[in-house]
Formats: sequence, C-alpha cells, structure tokens
Amino acid sequence: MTRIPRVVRVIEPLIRPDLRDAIAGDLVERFAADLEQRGAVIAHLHLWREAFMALRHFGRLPTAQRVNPVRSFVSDVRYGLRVLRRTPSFAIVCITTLALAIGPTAAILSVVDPLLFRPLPYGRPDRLAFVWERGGNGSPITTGYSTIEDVRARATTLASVAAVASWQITLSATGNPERLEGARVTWNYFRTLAVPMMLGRDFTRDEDAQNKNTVVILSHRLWVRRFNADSSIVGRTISLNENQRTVVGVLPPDYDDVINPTAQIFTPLGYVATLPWACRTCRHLTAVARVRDGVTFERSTAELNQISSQLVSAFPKEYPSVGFFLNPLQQDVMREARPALLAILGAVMLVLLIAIANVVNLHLAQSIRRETEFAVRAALGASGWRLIQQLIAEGLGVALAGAGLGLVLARVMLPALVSRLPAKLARTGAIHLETGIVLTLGIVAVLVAIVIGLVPAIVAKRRALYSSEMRSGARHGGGTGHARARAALVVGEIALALLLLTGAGLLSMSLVKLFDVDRGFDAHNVITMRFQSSGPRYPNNIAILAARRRVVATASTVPGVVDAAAVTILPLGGGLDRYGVMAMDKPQDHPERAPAATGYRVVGDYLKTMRIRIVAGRDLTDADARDTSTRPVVISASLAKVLWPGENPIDKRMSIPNSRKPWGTVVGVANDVRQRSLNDDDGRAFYYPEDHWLFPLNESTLVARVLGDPSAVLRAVRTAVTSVDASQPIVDVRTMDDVVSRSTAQRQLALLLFAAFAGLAVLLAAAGVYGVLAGSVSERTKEIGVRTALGATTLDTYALVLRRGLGMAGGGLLLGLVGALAATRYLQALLFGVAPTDPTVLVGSVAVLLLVSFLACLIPARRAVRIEPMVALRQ
Amino acid sequence: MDTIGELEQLVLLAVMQTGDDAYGVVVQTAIRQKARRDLTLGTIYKTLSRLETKGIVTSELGEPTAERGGRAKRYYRVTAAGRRALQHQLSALRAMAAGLDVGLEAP
Repeated sequence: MTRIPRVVRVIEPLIRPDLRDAIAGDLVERFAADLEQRGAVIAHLHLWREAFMALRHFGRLPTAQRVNPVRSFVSDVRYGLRVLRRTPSFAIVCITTLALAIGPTAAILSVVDPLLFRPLPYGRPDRLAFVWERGGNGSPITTGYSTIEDVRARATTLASVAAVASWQITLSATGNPERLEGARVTWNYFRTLAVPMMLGRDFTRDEDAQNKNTVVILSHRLWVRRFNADSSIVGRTISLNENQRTVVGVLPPDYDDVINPTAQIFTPLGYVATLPWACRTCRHLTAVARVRDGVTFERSTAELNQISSQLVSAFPKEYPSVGFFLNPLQQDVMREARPALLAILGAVMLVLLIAIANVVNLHLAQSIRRETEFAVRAALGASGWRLIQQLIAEGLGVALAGAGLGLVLARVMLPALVSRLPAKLARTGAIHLETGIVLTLGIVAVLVAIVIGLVPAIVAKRRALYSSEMRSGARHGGGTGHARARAALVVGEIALALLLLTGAGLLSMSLVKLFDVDRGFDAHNVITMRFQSSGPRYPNNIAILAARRRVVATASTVPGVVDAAAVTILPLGGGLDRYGVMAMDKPQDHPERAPAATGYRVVGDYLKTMRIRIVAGRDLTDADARDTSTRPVVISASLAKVLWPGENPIDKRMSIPNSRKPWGTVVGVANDVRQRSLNDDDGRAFYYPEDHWLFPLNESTLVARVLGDPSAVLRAVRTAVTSVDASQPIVDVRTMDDVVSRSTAQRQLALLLFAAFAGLAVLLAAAGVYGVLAGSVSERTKEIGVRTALGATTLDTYALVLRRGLGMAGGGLLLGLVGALAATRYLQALLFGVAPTDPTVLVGSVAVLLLVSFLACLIPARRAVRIEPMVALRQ
Repeated sequence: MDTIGELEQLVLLAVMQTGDDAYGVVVQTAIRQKARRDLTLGTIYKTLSRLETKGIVTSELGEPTAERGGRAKRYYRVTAAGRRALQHQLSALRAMAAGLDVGLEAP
C-alpha cells in the first residue's frame, strides 16, 4: 500500500464525510505522481497547498465554531473518539490506568461512606449516644442495670435511656435447629433509636419484666430467611431453646443494629433492680441514650457526671471512679475500624492521583506528537481556546470510559471486599455502590478531562504551540516546557508511590511481627466448634455438665484426636469474660478496683489440649471438678505476679466470681496467652472447672487436638458431637489457626489493600519514568547520534539516559521521604512492633522504587545506545 | 435554469473530456494540460459539488484502490440537463461572438 503523507492523515478526519475518501485519495495520488515527476520539494509544497485548500473548502471545524458551541462540542467528542480509534493502544493504556484507580476508589468509598459518614438509619441519629461508666484506669466500661435505672430517673438532659445485652439462642422450628445471635433489650430500645416496626408492634413496658418477657421481634432478614416473609407470623409463637415465644413485630429492612451487628432476634431484657444480676457491679449491659433536642452533649455530660458523683458517694464500693462518658453513637461504633478505613481511603486517593498524573503525562506526550495537526488547525483559524476545548473533549472520552470500566471493576470488587471485613463490623449491610458515589466519580472524570485539556495548553503557552506557524514534524518538537512538566508529574508519581510502598511495608512488617508473637498456646492442629446444651432436656447444671462431658469424651474417641476439652471462650476468639479477682490474704477495701482477669471455665484437659505450659504447680484434673472444698484453680503467670508479687502463689486462695463458694485455691501457674488480640499483652487469666460455676451455661466450645491435617478429622469430630444430641446446633466450626488469623482480619485487609495499591502505584510510576525517557530519547535521536559520531561511548550514552531517569527518581524519592515521614503516623493505630518511621522499611521502599526506576530507564537507554549516528543524522 | 459560471464551465468540460474516468486528479490534470490553469483539488471539488446541487453532474463512489491508500474515487458524470445547459450557454456565447475576431467562430 502507498505511503500516506502525515498531513493527509491529519486533515482527513476534518474533511466533509461524503468527500473525505475522494479528496484524501486524490491527495495521495497527486502526491505520488508529483514525487515521481517533480521531486520531493515541489511535491511537498503542492501537497501542503492542496491540503490547505481542501481544508478551506471542506474542513469542518472552523465553520462549526461559528455555528453552535454544543454541536461543535459533540463533533469534538466524535472527533476525539476517532482519534482514539486511530491510536487504540494509547486509548487502552489511558482507560485501563484510570479504571484501575477509579474502580478501587469507588469500592473503598462505597465501604467507607456508610461506615463513617452516612448517618445511621435511626431517627435523628446525631442525638444518640452511648453512656459508659468510667473504669478504674479511666477508660469507658459497660454498665449495671441499677445504674442505668438511676441515670434514667435523674438525667433531665436525656430524653430516654435504653439498655442492651447480647443473647444467643437456638431457633428449633421445623426440625432444623439454628443458632441465632440476638439481643436482650429494655422495652424502650427501639423507641430510643426511633425505629418504627414494619409489621406488628414494639415491646410494651409490661413485657419488660421477669417471666413476662416471652415475646420477640424479628429482624427483616430473619423473617425473610426463616419465615418466608409471612406477615401472619405476627401473633404466632415460635420455639426458642424449646420454649415458646410470641412474635410481636418485624423490623424494617433497612434496620441495622450497630450495637449488635449480628443480632437477628430481640426480646425484652426483663430486669428489675432487685434481681441479683441487675446489680451495679453486674456490668454486662450497654447503655444507649437519646439526648434531648437543643441540649449540647457537653451539658448532658456535665449532668451525668453530677449524677455519677451522687452515685459514688451513695455506693462507694460499687464504682471504680467518678464520671460517665457520653459518646456519639456512630463515632463510638466505628472507633476501632476508623483508623484502618481512613488509612485505606487515603491510600486509594493516592492511587487515583498517581493514575491521573500518569494519564495527563501520556496526553502531554501525545500532544507533542500531534503538534503538526494542531499547527494546521491553528493555521486554519482555530483559536487556542478552541483547541483546548478539542483536547478536553478527547480527554472526556478517555476519562468517562475509564470511569465506566472502573465502576464495573468496583462492582466486581465490592462483594469480595465486604466478605473480608471483620464479621463484627456494623453497617456492612449498607455497603452498596451508591448513585452518589457514581456521580462523584463522574465529576472526577470530567475534572480529569479538563486537566488533560488544560495542562498541555498551559505548558505550551510559551512555546506558542497553537500559533499559526507550521511545523514540519513532531520529531522537531518536545521542547523544555513539555519535558519539565512531564518530569514534574513523574517526580510526583514516584513520591506518592513511595508513600504507599512505605505504608504497605509497615503494615506487612506489623503483621509478620504479630504472627511471630508468642501466643502462649499452640494453635496448629486444633479443631474448635461451639455447641449448645439448651432446652427442657437440660433443666439444670448437672444435666448440662453431664452432656458436656459426654461431648468431650465422645470427641476424644474419634481416631486422630489426641486431646479434647470444652471451654467457655477461646483466646483470640473475640469475646472475653472479665472479672475482678482478689487474693484472700490481701483484702481490697475497694472491690471494684480489684485487678481484672479473664475467666476460663473448663471441662476436661483444656490447658493440655491447647499446649499451654504449666510453669509451677500442676494442671487441673477431673478430680478437681468434684473437689468442692478447696476448689482448685490455675492462674496465669501475669495474674500471679499481680496478686502475689514476689511470692509463691501455690496454695494461696483467691476469689472466684459467681462461684458457689467465694474462694478457690491456686494449684498451678500457667504461661500467659494472648487473649484479646495478638497485640494485647494483657495475659491475666484463671482457669477452673466449670462445675463450680453458679449459673446455667447453655453453650461451650469444644477444642480437639488432632494428629496431622485438622480438616481430615473435622467431619468425624463434628459427627461425634452431633451424636450426643442431634437437636443441638453446632456453629463456628474452624481450626484454631483460623481463629488466630481471623483475629487479625482488619490488619490483613488493610495490608492486602495497601499492598495492591502500592504495587499499582509502583507500576504506574515506572510507566511514567519509562514514558518520559522513551519520549526524550526519540526526541534527542539526532543529538545522541551526533554525540556518538563525536566519540561518545556506549557507557556515556547509558549515563546520559540514566542520569535523567534516576534524577527524576531521586527527586521523587526525596519528596516521598519527606511525605512518608509526615504521613505514616496516621497508620500508627494499625502498626505493631514497628515505628512509623522504621528505617528498614523506608530504606527498603526507596530501594525498591530505585530499582524499578532503574529498570524502567534501561529500555530507553538501550534504544539510545543502538542509535546509528548516520541514520540519526539523515533523519 | 441556473447559469453556469466560468470555472464551472471549465470543470464541466474537463469532466466531459475525460469520459467515464472523471474524478478529481484526472479533471485537475485535464484542466492543467488543456486550459493551462492550475486549480487545486479543493477548488475542483468545491465546483463539482456546486454543479451537483444544480443537477448538472451526478457522482458515485468507486472501489477503494491500493495506490490511493485504500481510499475510494468519486466519479462524476454530466447529466442530460447539464449537457443542455452547457449547449445553451455556449451557443449564446457563440452568437455574441459571431463576426468578431475572438477565436470563437463556429467550426
């Protein structure tokens, strides 16, 4: 096929469509004939004249400008699309770059928005707050029922105060027992939140009393899932723990319980102040209050503190210190997740910035290549503004396509992201790709397009890119303005990439250190599952404990099981039973200031199964369960140190909360274990036989140590547990390794996202370095040719290119280091065992980026080295 | 009937001269060789499209060819009406020139 002169290519799209082929073809034919008959110079002169006249008569844009700005914009967009179609690889790179940034941005925004920013789905949510007591160390703690009653009666600044406690129950309808998470609430709970029922009615005051609390309210999800959205369910009874309870209401679909995110069923608390478990020190309730309209939180807090002083002077031994916290509901619910969410949001914004910088950079390079076209158009009378408009229109095509593709990506990412969020996180049900977010990103895309249009124009201003002067070809161009702007963009990209890389490095180091922590137990090859013993068949503790022993014994007989035991809670399992404990020989005048420790009630060889080392004395035995006189207990080393510093704790006596008799005897000291989280070193704990516990406990967790791969034995163990009582549901079947891993879910998610973003950022920055250098090498072909001809060696040429590339990298890294030193402290809450300015991480990140930049330099450098001086000079 | 301008006459005659093969470059070459006038392709196409709207010529797109970089030619043909209009105009010219030594005598 004949060579098509560049000028024909440039003007062709501008020619009236019906004559486009005819004229362009004729120009080509004429040019070929002229070239043959009259030589290159005349042929080119003729061609330019012909092209100019063809445009004058049939070019569309100069006239369109006079006609109608809207139509000219539409034609700009159409022209932009044609330009993109002509350079598909350029378009694909730009669109993909934007999509890879906009997709995650949309997904992260979709997660963060309902969690941190959107108001909670209650009436006037800004008036709702938690009421916490002040603990001995000044931190907020939960509340006892009597205290809540007093606050409700005395606080004039609170419109209402409700209390809520968690509730686990077995729904035994239709032969398929199911373990449900629920909540026990005071009758005014939903009224305090200002949530109306979708079906039926709310609880009444009368129903919130002992033995009268036989009614339940269902969440919308449970109603749909278990009762087929049958509205006649209201007024019917359902079987819970094999007791009958009447459904009185169903919550609306958008109801989201932020206090108990997993709660699906609600029942009245049924307390009165005289009940033993309604005492001031029975702090198992969460209080939520509605502050009266027009009252500031400060004023209400002041009133609450006054009430606290009164209570403390009336009951000095029942409060650890004076004061209440009144914490806005949403802020408090997201207290723990907030730092991670904000860090991830920040990270994705950096990625978006890098991507935009990269696309602008690509367009800058492209505008150099298109100089001839712009010159022609300027010659035909297009104003500078008109050409900027044209570039914006083209940018709009890229930006909107990128945003569209990005949103598709976000749709795919979002479910995966939600499934990786910590299970107990509130508001995850409200995470959707909202119209608002789509619109926001649409606006971002338009802004990107405007930047794409303006930046080349601003940069080119001094060089009069759009002047009527005609340039002979693009190779000629690419002056210092462009080069400087492109280099500046790349420097910025590298700086931002360093921020992300440092963040990812710090997070991964934290996670490594966390998993390196001595947990105090051996999580490998341990199976865990929660099982119940509830209903009429288990009327008392004797029956429950007998069943529990049977479960442990049956599980022990499964081939492959080495040890088995039952325990009330698992370390790192998410829930802790904390009690104040005292040494008998050291009477505390203030029981509420007694040191708190986690109580594990065990059946069987729990410490042995978990491989928790005994450091003094002995482990618990089966006989200890029946020993009601001494009541043996094993304590952790750190608890021993607190209760009896410098003394031998063996045979000392300590208080056992909620025991049939108040004092137990220490028979052994066990190693500390990580309980709340891997980064929390509070190892205070005590272990004692469940037989000594006062209250019935319907639930326990089986732990079984197996030989080899736990998954191979898991099914058999489960079957064994079921064989004891098939009517009791089994939940949370998992390995102990999994329990440990889940306890770091939030960190793992943060790390995963940071690593992905950092990888993307490094890639984009490398592409930026490569692009600028490749551009500069092809622009300087002639220069490099001359240098080579004058004796520059291969090494000199390498140095020439590398100096430029590594100069950009160095500038970016320097800028990035300053930024990293300033910004990484925002990650503090997510770090463990590593300082935000950890030199290893900083140096490592710098090294990675330097290496990547170096590699990005190599390809253009090799190309420069291969330039043949003669070929370069002839160009 | 519209009158035909001087430039239009030139182009029209060139189209007739080149017969079935009348497209931009050919017309341009014919005018260049016979009339010694150097018209750009843009001017020629402008004239042709004016003639087309007057119904004096018609055009159709040919097949794309390789030597034109895969671009099609647009072939022009004079309509019967065009021929009559030209005859009419030329005979008026001849009548006016009769007896004058301006080189436009009837053959």
